[in-house]
Amino acid sequence: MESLDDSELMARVRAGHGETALVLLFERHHGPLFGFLYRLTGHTATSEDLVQDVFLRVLRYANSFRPGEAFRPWLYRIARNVLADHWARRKAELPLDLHAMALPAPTNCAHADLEYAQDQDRLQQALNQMPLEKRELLLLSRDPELSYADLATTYGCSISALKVRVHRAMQELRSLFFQPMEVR
Amino acid sequence: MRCEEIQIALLEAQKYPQEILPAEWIKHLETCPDCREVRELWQQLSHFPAPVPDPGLTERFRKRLAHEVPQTKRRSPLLAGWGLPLAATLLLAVGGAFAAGYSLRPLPTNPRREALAEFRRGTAADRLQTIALVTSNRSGDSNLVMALLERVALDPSVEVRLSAVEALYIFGSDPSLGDRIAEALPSQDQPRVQLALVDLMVALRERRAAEALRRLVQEHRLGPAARHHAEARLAEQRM
Repeated sequence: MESLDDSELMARVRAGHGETALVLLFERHHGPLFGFLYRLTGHTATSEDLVQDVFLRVLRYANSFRPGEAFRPWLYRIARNVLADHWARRKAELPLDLHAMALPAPTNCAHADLEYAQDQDRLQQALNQMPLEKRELLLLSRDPELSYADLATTYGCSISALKVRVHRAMQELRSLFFQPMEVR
Repeated sequence: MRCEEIQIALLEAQKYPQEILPAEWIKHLETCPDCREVRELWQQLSHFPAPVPDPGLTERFRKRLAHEVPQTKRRSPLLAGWGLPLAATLLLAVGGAFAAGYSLRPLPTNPRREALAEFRRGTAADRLQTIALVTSNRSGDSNLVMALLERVALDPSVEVRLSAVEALYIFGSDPSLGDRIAEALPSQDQPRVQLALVDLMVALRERRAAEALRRLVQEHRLGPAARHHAEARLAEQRM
C-alpha cells in the first residue's frame, strides 16, 4: 500500500475501510502540517492535538475529496477550518508564548550561528505581531508543494488577487522585521 | 518593471529557488535596496526551520483512530441483530416514503414507515447511530437530506442535531442545500447548532449560500453568537 499515491490512498479512505491508508497519509504529511500549526499556535501539545483533529476530519469528510484532486491543498483547507474552530473555542487570539516557541538552538556558539538564531527569533517575533490570517497566508505561501493556484482555491480568490494579498502581507512583515529594535 | 511588479514576481521565484531569475530582475535587484530586502526576507522565511513533532505522534494517532472509529461504526442496541439489511431498508424507506408522498407520521404496520421512524425514536445515542449508519451509504438522495434537516430542526438532543448537520456535509453538491439551510437557520433554537449550520453554509462555498447567509445577518435573523460567527466566516472566506 505504501506505493500508492495520496489520491489512491484517499480512494481507500473514501471506500470506508481505509484506516491503514489514513495512517499512511498521516505519516506522509503530519510533519509539515505540524510545523504550520506550531508556527501559528506556538504550542507543541496543541499543535499535535490539532494535527490529529485534522486527520480525523479527513476521515469524516473523505467523501468531499474529489478523485484525482491534489491531497495537500485539500488537507490544508481542512487544517484552516480546524484552526478557525480552535481559535473560536479560545474566543480570542491569545498572544503567543515566545518562550514556548524556542527555535532549534545553534549547533555551536560561532558568530554566524548566533546571528542566524537571532534572525530567526526576530522573524518569529515579527510574524507573531501580524494578524492571524496574514501569518497563515505567508506560512502557506512558502510551502513549495502548495502552488498559488492551490492557495487561490483555498482562499476563494483569483491567483492575481492572492498574489497581491501575499505581497501586502509580506510588506507588513517587512516593516515589522526591519523596524529598529526596541531598546529596553 | 516597477518595484511592486518585481516583488510580486519574486513570490513565484521564492517557491522555486533553483530557477534562475531573469536578467532584468537581477539588474533591478542590484540597484534596488527595497526589492533586495524583500528577497532577503523571503529567503529567511523559506529557510525558517520547521519544528519537528514528537516521534511518537503517529502511534498516538493510530491509537486515537482505533479508539474513535469503532465508536462511529458501532451499532446501536436498537439496530443490533438487524445490521446492514436494516440500514438498506432505512435508505429505501427514506427514499420510498418521500417518493410515495407519505407523511412522516409513523404507521407501525408499514415496514418502511417503521424503518423511517428509526430517525425519531430510541435514545439520542440510537438516533446518532442511525444517522451514522444511513449516511455511511453516502447516498445522494434528496429525501435523506430532508430527513436530516428534520433532525436538525426538531430533535430534542443537541448532539443528534449536530450529528445531522455533520452528515449534511456529504450532500454538499446538492444545489438546493444552501437554500434549505438558510430556511432552517433562523428558526434554530440551539446556538451551537446555529453555529454549525453557519459553518456548513460557508463550507458549501456557493454564491447563493453566501448571499443567503449575508441576508440573514443583515436582517438580524440570527442570534448574537451566530451573527458574529457568520460575519467572521464571511469576512474570512471573502464570500
